[in-house]
Amino acid sequence: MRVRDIWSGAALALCALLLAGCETTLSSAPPVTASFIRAGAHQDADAHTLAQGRFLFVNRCIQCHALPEVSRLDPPRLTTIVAKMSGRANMNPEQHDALLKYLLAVRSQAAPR
Amino acid sequence: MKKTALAISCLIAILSAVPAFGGSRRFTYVYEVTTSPPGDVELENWVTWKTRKPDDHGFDQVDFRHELEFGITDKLQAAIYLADWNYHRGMSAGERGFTYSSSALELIYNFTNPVADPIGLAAYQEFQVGYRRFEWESKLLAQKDFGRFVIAYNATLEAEWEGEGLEEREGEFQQSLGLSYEISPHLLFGAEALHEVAFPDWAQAERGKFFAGPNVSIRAGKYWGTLTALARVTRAGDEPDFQLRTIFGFSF
Repeated sequence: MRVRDIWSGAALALCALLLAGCETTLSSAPPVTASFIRAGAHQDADAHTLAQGRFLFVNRCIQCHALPEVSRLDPPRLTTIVAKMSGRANMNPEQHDALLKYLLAVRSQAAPR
Repeated sequence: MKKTALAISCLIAILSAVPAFGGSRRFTYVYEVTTSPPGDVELENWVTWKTRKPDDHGFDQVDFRHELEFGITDKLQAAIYLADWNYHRGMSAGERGFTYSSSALELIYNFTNPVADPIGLAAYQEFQVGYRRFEWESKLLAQKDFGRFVIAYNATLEAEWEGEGLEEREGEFQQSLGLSYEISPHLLFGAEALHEVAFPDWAQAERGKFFAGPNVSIRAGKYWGTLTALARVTRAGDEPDFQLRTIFGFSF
């Protein structure tokens, strides 16, 4: 095995990851866009709160498990799960609130109108 | 048979009843990009059993590591390896017995997220100090999550100084790749592969060594455990034919 082989292997692995990265998994954690902020208004959440909620969702929750399909969970169930999980993820009340509002906005946006 | 089925059913029922815990690892050789939440403190105990070398069939070594991990910010994690020590026997291991190896400080900084960004990236730095021994280890960590699938890649450059005046030098370039599938938040299966190339005295590269094997990870409450079995695929080097690593974690 020579240095050239090592770099070829590394380059291949990185290319594979980059190509894989083109296929994103954002359906479960949609970004905070203008239409999303309108959906969030029903939860009494501003853009900053929603952005914080999404940040917590994609950073804290994936440390334990894959992100769930939020649209499949009704609001009471969602509220119970967030209450239980926020303790495990070391979230303070403000962070708990932001995460819940973001997830309720995701759900309301995904729900049929 | 009935007892086994009953035991498995009980285990599944217990695991399903307890919520999962943060900071748990899917892999034992491959590092993930994600870092512990701020304020989180966790104890990890590592045990790695290496056995049988091509020219020393009686070789056995068990490495132990005790690590305290701290979440500092959402992007920065620190860890202290309180002690790396091992038990060894066999011709190539010298006299049989226990040896203290080193203690270390580790830092991981997360740049991008494996879900929200096209690729998750993090930098890893470790400083290891032992008796007549100093090691510097830098890693680039990459990861992408596809729902329940996770693929992770590490590129590692290691520099080691040993001996009375630290005059013995060695470098190593290592690549590792891990794939994992989450069957449930409590049970994950996957595989890991490891490729190592040593540079004794930072001169000519030795022939590369390649290892691969399956892994399993279980999480329950504040506890988790991950186990990987790696077999040596290439014939080169004096590396062990088989190694088994397990990490048990506990969050305070």
